[in-house]
Amino acid sequence: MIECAAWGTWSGWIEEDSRRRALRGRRDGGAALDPLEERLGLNDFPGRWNPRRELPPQIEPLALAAARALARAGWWVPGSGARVGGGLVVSLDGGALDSALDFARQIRGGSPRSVSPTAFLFSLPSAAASVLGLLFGLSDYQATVAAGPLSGVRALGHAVDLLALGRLDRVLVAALSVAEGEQARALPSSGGRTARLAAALCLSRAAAAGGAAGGQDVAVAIEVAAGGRRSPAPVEAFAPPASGPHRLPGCFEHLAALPLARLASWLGPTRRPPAGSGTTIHHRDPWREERGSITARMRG
Amino acid sequence: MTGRGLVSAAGRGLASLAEALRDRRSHLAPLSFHGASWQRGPDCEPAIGGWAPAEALGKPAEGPPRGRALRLAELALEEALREARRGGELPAAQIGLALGTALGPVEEVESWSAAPKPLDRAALEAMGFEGLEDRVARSAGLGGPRSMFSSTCVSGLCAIEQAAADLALGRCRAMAAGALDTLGPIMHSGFACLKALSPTGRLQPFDAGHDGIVLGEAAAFVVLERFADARERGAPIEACLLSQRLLSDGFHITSPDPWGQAMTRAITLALADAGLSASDIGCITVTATGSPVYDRMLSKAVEKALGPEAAGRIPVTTWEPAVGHLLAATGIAALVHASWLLAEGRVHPVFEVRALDPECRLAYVLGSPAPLASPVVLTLVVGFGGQNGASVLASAPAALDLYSSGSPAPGAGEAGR
Repeated sequence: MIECAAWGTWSGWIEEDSRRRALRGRRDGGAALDPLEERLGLNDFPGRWNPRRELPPQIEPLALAAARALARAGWWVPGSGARVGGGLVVSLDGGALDSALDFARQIRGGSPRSVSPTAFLFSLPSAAASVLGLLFGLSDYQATVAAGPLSGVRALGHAVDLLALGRLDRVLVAALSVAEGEQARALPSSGGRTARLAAALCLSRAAAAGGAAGGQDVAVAIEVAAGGRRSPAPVEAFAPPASGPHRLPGCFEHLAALPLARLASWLGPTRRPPAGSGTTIHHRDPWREERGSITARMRG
Repeated sequence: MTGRGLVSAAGRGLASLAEALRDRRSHLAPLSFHGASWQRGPDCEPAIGGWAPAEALGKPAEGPPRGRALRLAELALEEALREARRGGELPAAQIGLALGTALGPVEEVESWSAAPKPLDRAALEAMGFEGLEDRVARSAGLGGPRSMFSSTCVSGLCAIEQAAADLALGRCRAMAAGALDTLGPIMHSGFACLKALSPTGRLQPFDAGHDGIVLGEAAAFVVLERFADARERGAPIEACLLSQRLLSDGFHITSPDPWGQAMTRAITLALADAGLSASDIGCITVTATGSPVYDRMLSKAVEKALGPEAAGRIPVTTWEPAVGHLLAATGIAALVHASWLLAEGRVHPVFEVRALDPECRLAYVLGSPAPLASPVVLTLVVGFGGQNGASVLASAPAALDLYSSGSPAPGAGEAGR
């Protein structure tokens, strides 16, 4: 276990597919939880992002979750333009494949020079980390983990290893899961619904945190095991926003960002878990019979 | 580092790359995808790249047909494991896998988009990165921890970070760290539409006429063990990875910081982690993509980090004109190449250079080979989107000399690497 100070945040969004929406009418068409209505101010990044340019929509939920976590940790002040010191480990599942398929269709039969660079750029899973690095001036170690449903657990594990070994003093772990369009229809748990989930956690090595105000002092351990037969953990409510549903729809079940969102929620923006309390969050890759778990315990 | 494997346009094995570099032979050639040539420039000349030859890929002995990415990875991993097993026993169950790729099994995406049907589980698995990692590990029966990174051309160096962590934390006996990318319509068109490719199709690093990247495909693997473990089982140690630093610019989504501030810091920190200074370095190897902005950035960064005297003296070379820019495989290929230089004891010249760009001011080896004055190599790897990696390698005897007198343990910071 690595002891660290942690801050977390998450955002989720879901929309039923257009067929069902058409059948049921627009009134019932969107089951939203924390619906990402809050937008990032483009003037929050002076000197780092051209405010006349919209943020790439592909990664906006991730940027929003990261901004909330960084601001909560006191690592970043909106509008300051200052660089955020520390590493960045991003977990990504889903979105890059959509872009790759889109790009592949564009180039079939066309000239390589007649296609959109943006589609290619976001075919690369690392594009999300590049944008976060640019927005927040993260100029330390940067890595993107793309390992399917266990990407989030593994990204957190990678970050915790680097903290434990003193390779980093602090790190932003940010996860984005996207299940949309064709992918959403192919995922057994999605029921064809579009879902996006983003989560971000700021972790500081306890020795390096220096008693910074506001952080939750936790110990974190990660385990990933292959060949497990454990049934998937139920997708439980985790301190959802007051207006949202108290149980997540099944389409979130295998999203890699989910375990990070659950950890962020357990850490809680307003309520601090009691000293000595702990949680274990299980997650699994349904196709490869791999499972991962995150154990966190408040120092007491 | 006890095992190395590489498959590239030069063919299968490190020996094929070594031969190309000794003979100053480029394996870059016109490309053809799905039976159709791709063109570059207004004159519709064929696009150029480094495609792994069919005879190098061969046919798998058993099992279902493999995609190109998986086949490249299997072969490179097999070679690395074979070399690592020259010493005592190294059971596959005790070896982990850390893998990197920029675009993964992109060939599957290309095939699917050519004959689209509703996406299903099989298609998603085939196109997903996790499926590739899973199949590579299973191909060699590796039973240790696994990880998968996608951080453009430094993906392999991220894999090295996790491999070193898994070793340092005692999770396995050895780690196979590798990376791969294949060349196809998506990769080629992607770089073309970003206007990153050389319009002349010539990869001319540091040359006044350098005008862009020429891509190549490859898979590269190294087997890493703790130094004491490798010695204990009597494995020949090809090189010691003394330190590594990987930093990002946070400057632009695609382009590097032209002043090379993060690369300067990466070099400085990597040397400090290893407890070395500029005077200890025998040679510098660089990712020389043929892109003016990267070539010049590297020159500035080395000058700032090492000082003008050392920057003007330490021989600099690159392997890229022989096989192209190897995308995600670049970082691991750089380590494999550096280990070969340590064994050779001399630094091969950079070819395809006619007249140096005046803003590239390092001691590039041109014409004839230069002696390797010290068995320590600094390798510099750059990645799309402003990624900067600096690694320090030494021969095993040099590493023993450096650290046997009570000085800091060989390794990067507190990781004890």
